Amino acid sequence: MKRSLSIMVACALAHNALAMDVSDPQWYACQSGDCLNGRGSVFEHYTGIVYTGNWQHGQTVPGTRYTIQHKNLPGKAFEQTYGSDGLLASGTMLRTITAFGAIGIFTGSFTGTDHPFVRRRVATPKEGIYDVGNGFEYRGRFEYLPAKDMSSTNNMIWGYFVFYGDKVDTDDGTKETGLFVSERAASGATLLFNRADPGYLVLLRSNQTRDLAIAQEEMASEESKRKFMMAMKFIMDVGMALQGDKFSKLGGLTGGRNEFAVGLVSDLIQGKDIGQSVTDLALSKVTKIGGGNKALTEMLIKAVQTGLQEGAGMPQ
Amino acid sequence: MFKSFRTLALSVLALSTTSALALEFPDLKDPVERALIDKFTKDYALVNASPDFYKMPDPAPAWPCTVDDKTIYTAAALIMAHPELSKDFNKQISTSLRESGFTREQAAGAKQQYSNVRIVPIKAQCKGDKLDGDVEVLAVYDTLMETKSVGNTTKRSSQNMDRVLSQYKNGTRVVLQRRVAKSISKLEMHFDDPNVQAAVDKSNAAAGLDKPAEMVVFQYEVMQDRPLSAYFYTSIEKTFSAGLFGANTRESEATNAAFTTTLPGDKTSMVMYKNKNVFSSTITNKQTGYAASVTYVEDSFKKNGLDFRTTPGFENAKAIVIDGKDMIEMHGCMKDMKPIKVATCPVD
Repeated sequence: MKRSLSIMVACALAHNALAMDVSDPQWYACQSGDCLNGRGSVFEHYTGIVYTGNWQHGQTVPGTRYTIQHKNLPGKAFEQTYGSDGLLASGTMLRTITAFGAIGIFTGSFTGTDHPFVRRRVATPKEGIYDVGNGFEYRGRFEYLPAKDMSSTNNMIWGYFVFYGDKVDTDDGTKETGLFVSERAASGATLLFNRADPGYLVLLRSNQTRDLAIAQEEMASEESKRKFMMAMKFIMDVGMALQGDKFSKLGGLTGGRNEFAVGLVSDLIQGKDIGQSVTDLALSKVTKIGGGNKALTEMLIKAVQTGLQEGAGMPQ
Repeated sequence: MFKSFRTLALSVLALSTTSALALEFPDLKDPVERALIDKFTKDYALVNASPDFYKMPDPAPAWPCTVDDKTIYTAAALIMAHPELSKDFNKQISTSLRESGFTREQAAGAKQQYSNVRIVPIKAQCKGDKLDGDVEVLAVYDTLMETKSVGNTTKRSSQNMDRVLSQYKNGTRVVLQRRVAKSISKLEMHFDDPNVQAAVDKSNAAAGLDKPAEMVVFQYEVMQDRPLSAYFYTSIEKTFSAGLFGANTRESEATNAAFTTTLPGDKTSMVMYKNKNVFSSTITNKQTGYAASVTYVEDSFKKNGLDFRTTPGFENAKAIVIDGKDMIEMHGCMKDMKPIKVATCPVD
């Protein structure tokens, strides 16, 4: 259950807009060669893209060329170059998540954009050509306006792509110049642009401000849930550590386990942990319970650290 | 035992119930629109009570004068079935579908295919070798719409019967007085993945989509102080609720009406109603090409604990309450028949 949840969360974030770590098997499978420290081909599960190039500790090497291919674009290969921040810097980005089958192909330069909703930096198109794959092409400048995920977990990368330039119908040669805004697009999904007027950008910006306030509340709520889950894990681990004769001999703490558990839960419920990490909170409590008994305190700190390590695998 | 049997019987009955109520209409002030509602109500009863309304006459009557193909298809309001008359429309549809993300092949294939088209005059007369006066035709034809997408193909095949009454003057239609179009459609969905196919088949069967669906559309035009056209059709609305043995489905008949008319300042207005309430309202400025629409939909997001404001397509929407029901008011804008994103649609 925990694994499936973390895979789901990972999938929501998976996309070559982020810095790649191809050593993560949830995301990538090495198809051939050395995908950790050498030259190899990597398959990305979420997008179906195969990346071929040099890898250093499973990450891209700045300035070197990568070739990308997709089974739905047979016989075609595209190039990419990554920057020192691990983000796509230039070349081609394939947008493979599509309802209709046509893969969107952006070729040009990229820029890094801070995405406040997922709290990550993402690579977004800057200047170039977006080929819709059905005859329409958008040739010009691109901007990106991050947007909120529909769910309260705020894990998925959403945003609006703003375009100014020429929309060309290569089927009949017609051209339309102006401002276009995409529908709210998920990470890696094809883009659908509509003509827009500047007033709409003001509306989107205003919605973004509103959504940031909503997201902050949700993030606080999610953080609180996560802390609570971790606290429960500590309670179990510390509770186990406090059981048995050797601990009662060491500390003689009748009711210490309950005091720790209830105290931690109480602080979390009352929000006293705001501004203080669960680790600090738990360790300060453990020290208090230890009451100067070094051996007991060390044992409890170990239990907390075990809980922390396991807690780190929890969805964040 | 008896009590439980009765409970069971009632529960089973509750799984799917249909209430055929009297037709419900909005309370309109405009006398012409009210007259059209009366006309539809009478025609609806007449058509339902006349099993031969769509029956092809045998032998089929001949046209009273030489009438070419284009005129015949136009008289039947079937220009989309005529290769030459539909050419420009089909190109527009194909471009519009590509703009919506369809591939070239899908856009080309999404064209409705017409076959077995038979159009015969029920009533027609000519003056100087041209249609003149009241002309009524019966058109019987089949249609097929096939849409291919990633991993699936959808086919909607229909048998259609239309009766169209128009007024002609010197070979040209002056007004379409009444069009009654009946279709019996069947939906087939084919998925590459057999598991998806099984799940969709099950869900379609539960929603009754595996059975042929009948629809009758009534269309009227009047030319009095201003041109006014109206559409009416009834539909089955399904509401779901939790029941003892799973979801209960309640079906009720809804009346859908739409009125299109001209407004001062070279504008047109189209208002669509579902039963008593406005469903959608669109004002088009023919001079600037802008069309502003407001659509009201039930807030199903709220029921499921979600917030519609963060859903794609709802950027310019707001929550309102109509008759105690949580609704979403959605604003749309078009420019020259293409969607345009604006904060306020400059239709005025």
